[in-house]
Amino acid sequence: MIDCSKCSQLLLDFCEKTVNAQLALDISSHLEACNDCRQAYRKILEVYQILDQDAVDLPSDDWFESVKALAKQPALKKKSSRYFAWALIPAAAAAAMILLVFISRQPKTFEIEVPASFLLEDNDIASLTFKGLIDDELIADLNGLEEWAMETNEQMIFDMSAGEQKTFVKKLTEMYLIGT
Amino acid sequence: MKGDDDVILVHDIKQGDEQAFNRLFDKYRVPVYSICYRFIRNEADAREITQDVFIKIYRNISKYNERAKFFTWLYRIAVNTCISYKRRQKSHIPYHESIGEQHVDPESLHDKIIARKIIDEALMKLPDRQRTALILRHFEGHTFKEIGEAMGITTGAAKANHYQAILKLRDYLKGLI
Repeated sequence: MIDCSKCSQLLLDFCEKTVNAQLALDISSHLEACNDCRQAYRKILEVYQILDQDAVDLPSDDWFESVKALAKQPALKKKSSRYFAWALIPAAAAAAMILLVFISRQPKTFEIEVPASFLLEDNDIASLTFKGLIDDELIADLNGLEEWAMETNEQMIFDMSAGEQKTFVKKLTEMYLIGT
Repeated sequence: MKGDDDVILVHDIKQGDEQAFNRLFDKYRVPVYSICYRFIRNEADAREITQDVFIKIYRNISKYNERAKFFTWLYRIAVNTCISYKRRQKSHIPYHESIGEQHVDPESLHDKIIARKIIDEALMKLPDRQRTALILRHFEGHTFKEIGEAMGITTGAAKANHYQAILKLRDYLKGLI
């Protein structure tokens, strides 16, 4: 038998059908007996039902064909090496900022030996979120950091040629002594 | 299976086989457009982003590392392109009076339109990461591991973002519940 607290932690997993058979039976039994949890469950199901009605009107086949043809057209011009030199400045600045942010986020006591972001390696983080132990602010903080890093660096690196990427990594290694 | 087919198609594209790109495009055109539309909630913008995504895919296919699943690479490009586009457009988004608090009966046509607006508004209120996790999980049916790979975050973070999205939608959609 499970109580309301356990039930509320597992409710989304139950809706997602990611709990094992025994747990599913326990949750079902609890939902039959508990009006509050049953209401919470119904509200979540209604969210899923509303989302299910959210249809996407697709463009015509002709439009997709035109996109396909356009995608295969060669790029107009190759980026010059001068572009690369300029591109390296914000990329390197971004890398430096990331390092600074991570350095400044190092734990300040011996009790906590890993940076907060390492918590996200734990697959049970969702249940911690559900319990309210990990709040929106922390999630937003970590997401913001990841997004910012991805936006600034990844796109820049993505646009580089293999040679440019190699040079970039070499310069970063020299600047920040990565791996030493 | 899906992954194996993609590996062959990508291999052929890298060898210069345009037909292979056509097949890859046809396979992913609907999911990519759907992700873009659901992220940006505007048809014209979704079309522009979809076009950008496939141009990037074609021009950068040589950079795709075949150790990762192709669709996670593709979706990651789609999501990043959506995020960049949204940031660029932020200053041009017109102000709409919030209708999230209205209670509507989804049976009438007028109310269906309002219901659609409430859903649009609710989804757009979600942070980018939570919206992305919700789209990839609920609408595209991917596992949290795949979502994590596509978003460049851990499996746990993908799950947390999805759960946060559902919990928030429960409040944002109260006009419809």
